[in-house]
Amino acid sequence: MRTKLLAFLLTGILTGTMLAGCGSNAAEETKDDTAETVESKEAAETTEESADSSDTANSGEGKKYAIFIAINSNAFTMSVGDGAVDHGKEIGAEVTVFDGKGDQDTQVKQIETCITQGYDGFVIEPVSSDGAIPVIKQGQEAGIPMVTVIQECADQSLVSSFVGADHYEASVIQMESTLEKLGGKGKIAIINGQMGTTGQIQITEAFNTVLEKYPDVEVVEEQSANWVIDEALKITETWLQKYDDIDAIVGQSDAMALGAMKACQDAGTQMIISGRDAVPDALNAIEAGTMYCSINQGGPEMGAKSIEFVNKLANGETVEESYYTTNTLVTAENVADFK
Amino acid sequence: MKKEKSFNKSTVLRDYGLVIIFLVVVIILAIVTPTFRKPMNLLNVIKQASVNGILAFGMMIVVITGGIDLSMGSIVGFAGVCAALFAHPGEYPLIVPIVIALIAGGAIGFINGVGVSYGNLPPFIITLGTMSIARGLALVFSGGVPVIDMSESFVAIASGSLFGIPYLSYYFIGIALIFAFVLNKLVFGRHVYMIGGNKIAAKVSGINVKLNLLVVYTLSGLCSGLAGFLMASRTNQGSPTMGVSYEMDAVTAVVIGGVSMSGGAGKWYGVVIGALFIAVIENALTIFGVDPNWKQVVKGVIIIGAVLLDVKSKGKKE
Repeated sequence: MRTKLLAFLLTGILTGTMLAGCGSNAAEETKDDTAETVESKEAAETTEESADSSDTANSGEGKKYAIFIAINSNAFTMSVGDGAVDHGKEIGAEVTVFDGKGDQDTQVKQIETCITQGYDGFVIEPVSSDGAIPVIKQGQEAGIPMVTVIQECADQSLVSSFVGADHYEASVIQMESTLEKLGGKGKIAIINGQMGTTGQIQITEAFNTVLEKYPDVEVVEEQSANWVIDEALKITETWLQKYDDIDAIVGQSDAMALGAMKACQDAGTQMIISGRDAVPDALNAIEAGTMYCSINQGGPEMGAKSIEFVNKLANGETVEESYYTTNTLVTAENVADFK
Repeated sequence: MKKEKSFNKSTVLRDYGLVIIFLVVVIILAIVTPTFRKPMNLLNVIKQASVNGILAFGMMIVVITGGIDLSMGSIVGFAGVCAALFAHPGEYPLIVPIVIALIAGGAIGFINGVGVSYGNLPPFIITLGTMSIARGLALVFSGGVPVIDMSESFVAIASGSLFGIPYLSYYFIGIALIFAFVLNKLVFGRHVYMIGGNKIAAKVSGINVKLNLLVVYTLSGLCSGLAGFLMASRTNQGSPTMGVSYEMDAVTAVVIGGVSMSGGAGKWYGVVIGALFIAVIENALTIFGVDPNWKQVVKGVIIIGAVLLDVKSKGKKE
């Protein structure tokens, strides 16, 4: 009996903490009834349309925005969140970052709770492009301006815009510069992200398009390391026993490329290794010469632009349907610019 | 008399059957693919089994007492982050990150132990809670991003080798021998089996069950802490998301090794074989170029097979 009681207590504490995360901002709000909150929010928005669009420096004054990251556990997503918060400070708005921890249900609860908290706009990276649709519809019904970031949702007509990176272009740049470094011929191995994720699918497509133009390049192995460094390390360790003539390893992300790099170091070999994301450790490796290149996909720019967009929407302006950040190839030559 | 004979046969088959199957698989692979039988590859397999093997021993003693430790993977991440924070070049002596990782793991393990023995919480519940807590702490302490810039000596601990054999393998063998000694030669070891066999009988015969369970879960936490430190060294970063699902691999090694999930039984060498078996399968699947998602399927099939064997031989006993 006591055990069951404690178990329920624990579950209750966990749920309560989740709600408290969103509800802590409600301390400033005096609205009680959910229904009233939604209606009065819509009324408040129409009266705010008088904001002067040329006064963009402070057009965010007093506004509250929420940015929902699918899983905030790597340097890239952190930089998007940071970019959003920083831009908020510039325009005088308060930006709160929520971490969905890779669970759509968690994100749904976060968004639902925030709908009742009087936010002026949402920036959402859906955990699942389909799974997020119902809660995005709720946001639409509540009249909250929304844009998606980093990843699109399955029905973009529900939101006003998508701010993200063009993974396809980034990967084209990555593969092309790697193959050029090889002189257009040789043996390469590819380490994929988690199979079936939007990122992996786009990147593989990009890689294949580039590879078609290089008939003298042979892909000897292609495996997935599920975006994590330790799996990439293990796989590369084994590959190095199977082959002694791999010229390059192309990783769909820096984390995996770094794992491959470590395996090469442990085995006392070196080869061309490329990644994507331009995380700090990859930049260090590029500087040290142990990694060849990575791609910077403008994380902070993504966060800032998404807030700029919802802020415009909250002020009654329109925004473009989509915005893609700049992809930049990072090699030893320009790595100092990104550190 | 006849019944006793068949009981011995099935236990022997289960114990040595595992070793036989393992050797058969290894020999087949060595014949079928030249890469597998390369000495360096075989050494790699042992290296790749080492961290999971260390975790598996922590999981083993927990399972013998009839419990489970779901927090192991999260502790790996947490301890790895803590160690990495103190492993920057030229800052602290090498002993500092090692001790910090052990303390981090031991502390969470201690909490698990208190929850199980004095809080009377089911192991599943308390370790599910600490699984979340440890992962959260890892993210908080690291600021959500991997801790980088490790000293060379820190990285060398899991990456170097002696006489051509990877250091990680030595640690695995060392932990295996320690647990073999503890479980077979120490009174504590006997108590662990007895508690797993029948908690009430153990208590009645004078064993301090609560204290023993506290030690068991703390030891498991220490194993996770050690594994976390080693993974940070091996991957050259303290990643807060390191170790996700590692407890599943640990359980798999334990189950394949013939440790009964209902508690009270299990041999230390079974766990060694179990960990090696997983590493062999993964290695083979990589060499054959099989999609890693199929590795998950294969592991699941093996674990079900091993549990069936366990249940079946128990049935024969009765």
